[in-house]
Amino acid sequence: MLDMYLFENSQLLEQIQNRVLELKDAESFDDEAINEIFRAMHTIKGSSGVMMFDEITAVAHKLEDVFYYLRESKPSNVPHLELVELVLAVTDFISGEMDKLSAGGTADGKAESLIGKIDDFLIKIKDDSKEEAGKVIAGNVYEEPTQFYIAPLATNPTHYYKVYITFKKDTELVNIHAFKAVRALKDVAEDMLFFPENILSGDEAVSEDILENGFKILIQTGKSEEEVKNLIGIGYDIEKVDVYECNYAEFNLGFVSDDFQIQIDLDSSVEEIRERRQAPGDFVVKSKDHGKVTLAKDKKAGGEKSTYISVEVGKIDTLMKLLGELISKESDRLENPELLTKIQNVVRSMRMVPLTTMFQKMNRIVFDVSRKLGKDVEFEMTGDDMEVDRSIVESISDPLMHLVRNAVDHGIEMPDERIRAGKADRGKVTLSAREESGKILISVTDNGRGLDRDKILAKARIQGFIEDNKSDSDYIDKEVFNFITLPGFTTNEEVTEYSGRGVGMDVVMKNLQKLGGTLDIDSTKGQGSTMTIKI
Amino acid sequence: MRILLAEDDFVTRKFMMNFLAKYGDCDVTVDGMEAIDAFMMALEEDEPYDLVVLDIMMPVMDGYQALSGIRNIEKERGIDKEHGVKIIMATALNDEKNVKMAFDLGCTVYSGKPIDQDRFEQGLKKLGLIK
Repeated sequence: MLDMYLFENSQLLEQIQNRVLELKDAESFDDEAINEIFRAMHTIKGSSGVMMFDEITAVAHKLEDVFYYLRESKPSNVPHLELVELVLAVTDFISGEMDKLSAGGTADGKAESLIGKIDDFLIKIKDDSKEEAGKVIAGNVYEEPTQFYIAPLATNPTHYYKVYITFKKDTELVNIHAFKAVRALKDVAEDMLFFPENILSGDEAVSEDILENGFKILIQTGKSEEEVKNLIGIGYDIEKVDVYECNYAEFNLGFVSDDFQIQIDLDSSVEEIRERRQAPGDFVVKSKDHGKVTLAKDKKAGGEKSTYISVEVGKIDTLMKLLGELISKESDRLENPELLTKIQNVVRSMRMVPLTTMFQKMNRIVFDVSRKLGKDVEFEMTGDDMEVDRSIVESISDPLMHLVRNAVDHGIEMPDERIRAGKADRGKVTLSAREESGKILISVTDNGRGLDRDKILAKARIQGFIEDNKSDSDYIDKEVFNFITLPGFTTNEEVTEYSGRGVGMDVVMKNLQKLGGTLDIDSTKGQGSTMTIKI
Repeated sequence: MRILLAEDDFVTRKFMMNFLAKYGDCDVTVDGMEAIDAFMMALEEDEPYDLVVLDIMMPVMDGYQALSGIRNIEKERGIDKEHGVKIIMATALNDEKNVKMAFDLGCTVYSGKPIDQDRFEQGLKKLGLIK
């Protein structure tokens, strides 16, 4: 439940952020954007209200207020950039709280000052537009939801074990001894199953089975292997206890070879299975023979944190179509390997995500850094619709962020310096992606001051990266530029909040090398630089 | 306030009783059927409960059946939604489908187990049951 809340709202937040960044240079938000942000905030407010995340609810409500006002009375005097920053501050706050929640923490951030800021903003735009508007706008009233959800307390990381107990062959009433082991584990178990099941029935055959094949327990618990072993304890009756940790899927399968089998329903149609919804009465506990033992196989995947991905609907449609074809051609499917290959390709493409999301994130970084440093920077991206495997996106996001930050901080000059150099006062950072002979190339280009070959060489000499017997002219540009990727190397005289500490490029390098990627640096002094990640 | 608890597991029952005793007098039943009986009895004696806490997986009658049973009794007696008893489902079942079903059937709070005691209390405050 919490997973779903986090997933849906993080998507909404991302959507808002992208929209805001897209329009940050516009005069004001258009009707569509205002509606979009209003609706997203309304949704977040609603679901957060049900989840009782009061601070998130309050912030979302406040921002919704602002956009409600914008929508209803269309004031013409809104300081746009201020509003952009306000929206971003809100999405940052909510994202931060959601990060805490997804890490198992509590949403304990205080929104008071942020709400104060939004209030001030709202009062300001309302005051300013009073004369021209003059009409009374109905307030946007918040109604508490009537139903609430409380997420369960985050528990310790849970483990799944398969336990095999071998009893001494001469143990009498071995079923009672087996029950003793079950009882010993009951207190620490979040879920438990054991085989044979009917150990308290007094059936002789059960005891024989235990002596013959051992007693098996499936247990989910926060305890360690060693603790589980100790709880069962090896005494006069037990010869050996083996504990194996397994994952959730294996745990759900149980001891497949023995008592357990997965049943696949082949008789019912898909519709029938889909229709089989759970209803009141389905949760009646049927057997209460020996303590409460929940049935592992019936339990929903709740122990494991699930990952969701969004897949473009078109891909799923294609997959369905191909599968339909496969079924209708069932008889000759073995002669139809192309079809299977096609299906495989579609499934593979579902793992692919467009670079857009990551590029948008970079847009945000450019915005933040340039605002902070007082630079004026335009951001452009090309090729962001290219699709790459999601694992690549995850792994190059950090290095790329670094390069972008560097471009704004080191590359782009201050506006007055740019004018003196005869350039437009507005700098530009371009992020582009393309494919070349099976490799993905992502470049960060800035039209700033470029790398200073002489300065780098001088620094490199001082820091001892250059062998004494070599002269400057022995190095070609590319080699010189590569010095900046060495640990501890920096040409920035000033350490800013963002860069200049001499850590960074070497980390970028290291991360890229881990992925089997390379970094290509190209630069012309006074014209700008291009850093290209090849992967 | 008067609280009714339905919980079949002994250990959980003991824990919940102690926990709920902080907020009022807590009656205890062990399945959904008994819970409905107790609820009816309290209504007839004109001493209705302010809060009902239901486990979901219980013998004889599960928490969902008890929940819709209670809401039906209220409907029959002309008790409107606003004045109906506050019902908290306390359960280890936590997926969206179950939560949604409980909301549809008219539960007031859905609280996953293990119970987050601070937030449970926060919920009681929101419902106006405690200050």
